[in-house]
Amino acid sequence: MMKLSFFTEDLLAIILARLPLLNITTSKLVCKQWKSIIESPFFRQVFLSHHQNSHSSWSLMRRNPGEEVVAHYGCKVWGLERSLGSYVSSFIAERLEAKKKVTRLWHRTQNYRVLAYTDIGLLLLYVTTFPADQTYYVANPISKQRIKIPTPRTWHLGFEKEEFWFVELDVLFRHARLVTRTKDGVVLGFKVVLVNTRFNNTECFVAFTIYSSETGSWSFKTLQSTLPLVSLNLLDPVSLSGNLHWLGLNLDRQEVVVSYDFYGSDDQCRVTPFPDLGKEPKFKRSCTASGGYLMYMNIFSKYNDNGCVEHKLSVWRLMNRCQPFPKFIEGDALISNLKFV
Amino acid sequence: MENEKKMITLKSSDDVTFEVEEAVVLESQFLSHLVQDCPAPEHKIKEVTGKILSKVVEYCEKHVVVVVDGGDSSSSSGDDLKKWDDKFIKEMDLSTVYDLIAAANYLNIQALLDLMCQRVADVITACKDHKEIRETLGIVSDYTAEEEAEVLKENEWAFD
Repeated sequence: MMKLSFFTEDLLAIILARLPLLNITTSKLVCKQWKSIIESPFFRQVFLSHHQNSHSSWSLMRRNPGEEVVAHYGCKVWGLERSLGSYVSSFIAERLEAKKKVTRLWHRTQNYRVLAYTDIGLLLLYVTTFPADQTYYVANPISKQRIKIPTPRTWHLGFEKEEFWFVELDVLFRHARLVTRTKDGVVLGFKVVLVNTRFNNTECFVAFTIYSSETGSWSFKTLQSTLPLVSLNLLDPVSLSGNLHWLGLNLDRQEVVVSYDFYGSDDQCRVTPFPDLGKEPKFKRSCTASGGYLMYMNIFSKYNDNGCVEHKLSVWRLMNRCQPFPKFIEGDALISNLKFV
Repeated sequence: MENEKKMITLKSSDDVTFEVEEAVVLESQFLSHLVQDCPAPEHKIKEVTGKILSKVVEYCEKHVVVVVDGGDSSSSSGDDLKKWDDKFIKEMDLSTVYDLIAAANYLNIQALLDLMCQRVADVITACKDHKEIRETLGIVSDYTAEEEAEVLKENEWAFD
């Protein structure tokens, strides 16, 4: 009788690549051969081609107070039927419901908050339980899995080493962010990052408290060089391939993107001015992630000779590896002559 | 004229013969090359048994007819074909599915291979854990308890 084990590894890879991402982790546990197939480059290639066209689409991951935008990011590759955002909300609702049953006797109230999204779909959750307990979870809303992150102790926050940084602990905790290291769509590790800043006229001092999945512990680090900034918006940075990208203002009060690579070797933040500083864009400047790049887009209007208004959509991507500094490159080719009347 | 379609005879490993139209044979990349290179009236396929070859022929005949009809009623025939495919695989046992995968792979019939691979993937997806996958597919684990715990730990993501 024919058996599955008679098949060549290539055929097995073709079969396994049709599994939803959820079942792939489970399949590694079946036997050694399956694990080695699933971890092979050929498998990833088949898997990605079978679930293709998912990374080319636009995605928005920025949040505004009271409103969250997580578009259909990665739906195809993960085999989702709904938008990622709806998985997030039902995931949290289920967690709350489960907790209610357990903790009813204690009359404790719990608050779940999604602090950060990443480009590969992992979330950072912050759970506060009245009266005073805070816990971080790194969670996958699709598979409904989560990992508890130990709460940092005060000595992890650098208060003893540095002069007193005016910050409320609660505010610092709520500004935690998440970065991930991936290879071919597979998560190799993550870091939970708390950011603290202090300003001194023309300098911005930055310090990070970082939990690394590799070490399993928190550590504190101050950046050696200060940044020429007058403000740094710690809310809603974009998390993309191990980097965080914040918005800030430089000494000329121009809008800039401030980036830091948490898996990189250079110990420096990179400051990149927006590419359209001389112009007046229609929308507030903000960035998003798409196709593995940090993207910025905006609309510019101008009056033609005949008095008509012409609107032009411009799109830029941040090129990190440009020397000596990263810069935004305008992608004319990305837009096929889009005009609004 | 139309009724005089060119017929080709396929013979399975256990000498069961199937007379099919040439168009049916062209569904298979392997057979279309064979027919072109060697214009004999009968072709022996040593790697496939009569039981499985009958399934392959059934599948190819169905799919070739629909492609010809596709000109006038494409969307409904597409749906019908999907329904037919579903029925085709529904009552098939896994052992036959494996044989068909091997045959489709050998004869190079991509659509049949896709259909059958998806069937196995669906069976795996329906299992609640790795133990059920092993039971359903008759796979013997070669992990020691320690090794399995190690993999489980690597995949802590997946098990709350």
